Amino acid sequence: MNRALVFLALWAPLSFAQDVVEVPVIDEGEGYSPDEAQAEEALRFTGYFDVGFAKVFGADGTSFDPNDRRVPLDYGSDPFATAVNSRGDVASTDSSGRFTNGFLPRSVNIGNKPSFLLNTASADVRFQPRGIPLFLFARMQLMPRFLGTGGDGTRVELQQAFGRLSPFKNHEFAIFLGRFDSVFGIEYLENEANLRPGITPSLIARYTTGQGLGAKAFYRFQLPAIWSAVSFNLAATNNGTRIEALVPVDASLTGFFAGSGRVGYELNLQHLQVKAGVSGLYGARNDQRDPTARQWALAGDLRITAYGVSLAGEFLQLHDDAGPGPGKNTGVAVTELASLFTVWGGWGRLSWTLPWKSDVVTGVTLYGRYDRRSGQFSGFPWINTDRLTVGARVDLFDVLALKVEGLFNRELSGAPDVDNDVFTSSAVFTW
Amino acid sequence: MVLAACAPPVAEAELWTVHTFEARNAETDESLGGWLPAELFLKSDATFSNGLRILPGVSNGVSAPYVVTEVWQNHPEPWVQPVWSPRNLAGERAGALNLFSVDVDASFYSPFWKLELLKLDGTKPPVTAQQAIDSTAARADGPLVVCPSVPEGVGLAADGSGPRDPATGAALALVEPSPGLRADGKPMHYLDFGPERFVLSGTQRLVVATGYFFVDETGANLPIAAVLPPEARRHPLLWRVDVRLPDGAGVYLPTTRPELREVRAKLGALAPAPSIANDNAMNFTLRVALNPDCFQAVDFPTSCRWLDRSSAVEALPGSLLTRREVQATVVVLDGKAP
Repeated sequence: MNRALVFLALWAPLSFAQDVVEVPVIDEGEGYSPDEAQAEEALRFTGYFDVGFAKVFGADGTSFDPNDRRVPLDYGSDPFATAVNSRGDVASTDSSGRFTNGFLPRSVNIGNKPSFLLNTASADVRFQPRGIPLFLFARMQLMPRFLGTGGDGTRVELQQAFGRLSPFKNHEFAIFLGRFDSVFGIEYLENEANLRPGITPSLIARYTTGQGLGAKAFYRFQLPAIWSAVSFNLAATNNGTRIEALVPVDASLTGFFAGSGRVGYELNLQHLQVKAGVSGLYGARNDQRDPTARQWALAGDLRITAYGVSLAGEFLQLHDDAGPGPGKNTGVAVTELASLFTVWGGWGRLSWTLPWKSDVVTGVTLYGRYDRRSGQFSGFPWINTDRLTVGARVDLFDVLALKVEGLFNRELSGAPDVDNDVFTSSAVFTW
Repeated sequence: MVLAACAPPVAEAELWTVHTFEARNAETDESLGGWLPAELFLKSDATFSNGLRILPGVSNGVSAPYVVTEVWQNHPEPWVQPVWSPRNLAGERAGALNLFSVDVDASFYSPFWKLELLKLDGTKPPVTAQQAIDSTAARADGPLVVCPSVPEGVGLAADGSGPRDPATGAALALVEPSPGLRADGKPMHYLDFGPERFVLSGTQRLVVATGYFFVDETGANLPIAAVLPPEARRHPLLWRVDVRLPDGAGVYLPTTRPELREVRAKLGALAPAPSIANDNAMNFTLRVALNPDCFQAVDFPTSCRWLDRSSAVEALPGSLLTRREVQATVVVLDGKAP
């Protein structure tokens, strides 16, 4: 990877090109789900694999302080701070035997050691029968990891599997059934490493970017007179919008569903594009079994793109009722209690895609992002943290994306001050 | 909705604290894991001050008056949490307040704390959890303490002469509320029952014992000395087991204790009057005997078969014992130093 960085450093300033670089196009209504128009064959296979190299500058790769004996340990700090890849996996969640209560991301278990990683090997299969308004899609992902308990292991996740019905030829309306991307906010659009301009997700991505199992509907109508469009994206799922490490997806534990949705407006001018939306979530908490314990969230998002410069941001507020009964189920473990929880936060990102490209270097993007998060489990102090992320992405041959990123985490108040800055990099091969 | 209607009901995980006992004191149909709020907390009246009601108990044949400060029902076992105690280099408190890491409204609140001594070199004491953890002061492990959070001004319920063992009438050591700091630096109050009050099981959990509490046929508590585990002073976290009295059992209640007349009225025939010669054995007051005719015997109390220790209760028919999914902090009170 160091060789790759040298390569990057040498080539980036030299690879001028005439045209505006294209970043991967995503249909905001559908997330990283494919468009049947792209399906030249009835059956297609695509995918990517993401090779990373990361290092956390701290004692052990976690955000836990060795002097912190509070229970649960993960209520008093932000275990998600040391993210090393686009999945939000962190360098370590090793609590040194101290009790944690399920507020943990998945871990690559490298501690503070620099390490190569195979973050994700992802394979998509899509099927578009000729003449039928149905579209089928499945995404299988493999995540090889060193297990903290010893030995290697590869986790397999069927991240998406859905059928999509588009009943009207003249209307942009589709119904989805299965497991699909979130409809909340905008960050889920960049879940996959090959699509994300940078590497790591924001500090609030854990609440908005999880795939859901259920049904959703998307409708968009154009307002050509004012170069605009308005879209509606609604979903009813088992789990809501949180990532699977926090909330199980594959079953409704309460018998109630979580409703989520986004209303979006977009303005498409020749050199200016504006997209804005508001999102909401309401339903039973699916990390416990009582339907009276609810979760709700509200968010707003905005993206402005002009002349290769893009400004994007999102703000979120979320609340969880306490689960009345004992037991908390996450996608990773069963723990003790689902506590009352409140969080607000957001992020803003400024990125600049350099206005040239060549046959070799098909895109160069520089970016910086500021994240802020303030969360509290009842009875614990508010944890106020922020993060500055800076990085660069270079696309080669439209097949390989090379990315480097630095994360500067700060504990502003409530959480102990720990060394947990991160350097991470990624080479994403798309096929 | 239809699906939800088929979902099995969820047993609620409850934690009731002294704050609950006080706030819901007037509720008469509210059972907190087997206790009514007023059974645990006494609102001040003409005789008694506002505070935790002292209840009769016995452990290994020795009177063990106690208070209940928390009740957990269908709840995971409580954890031991850290409390930071700023000290000067000589190890003295020097006026700094103890800083408690978790507030009483947390689902992981616990009255069981491990003291962490922060030896400050003239620097300002920490006033938030973050400052305590970040502190570069030398650290030392302190004792294990039971310090329940209480509303301001709440201590032990007592009359003008101070707290007393309701069974024996013996004077007890005063336990008064102390000021402390919550994790966010705001003020709180707690009762300090002294050091080495529990035994660790593993790193941050404690040994749980069993307490036997006598109830009538309806499940209502009887004003009888509960049977607490051996070394009850060091085993404050108890599973609650309800015990129905076996046929023929009786309660020893001297007639020479006018302050217990309400208890006598409540027990009725369960408390046959002792003989005149046996009417002054204060140490046996409110204990259960399987053969209450011994209250008349010349070889009283040795001829009595007392339910005054765990092993005696555990020998009863199992049909008389009902274990609840309830744990409670049962703090045995110390006698007043002579």
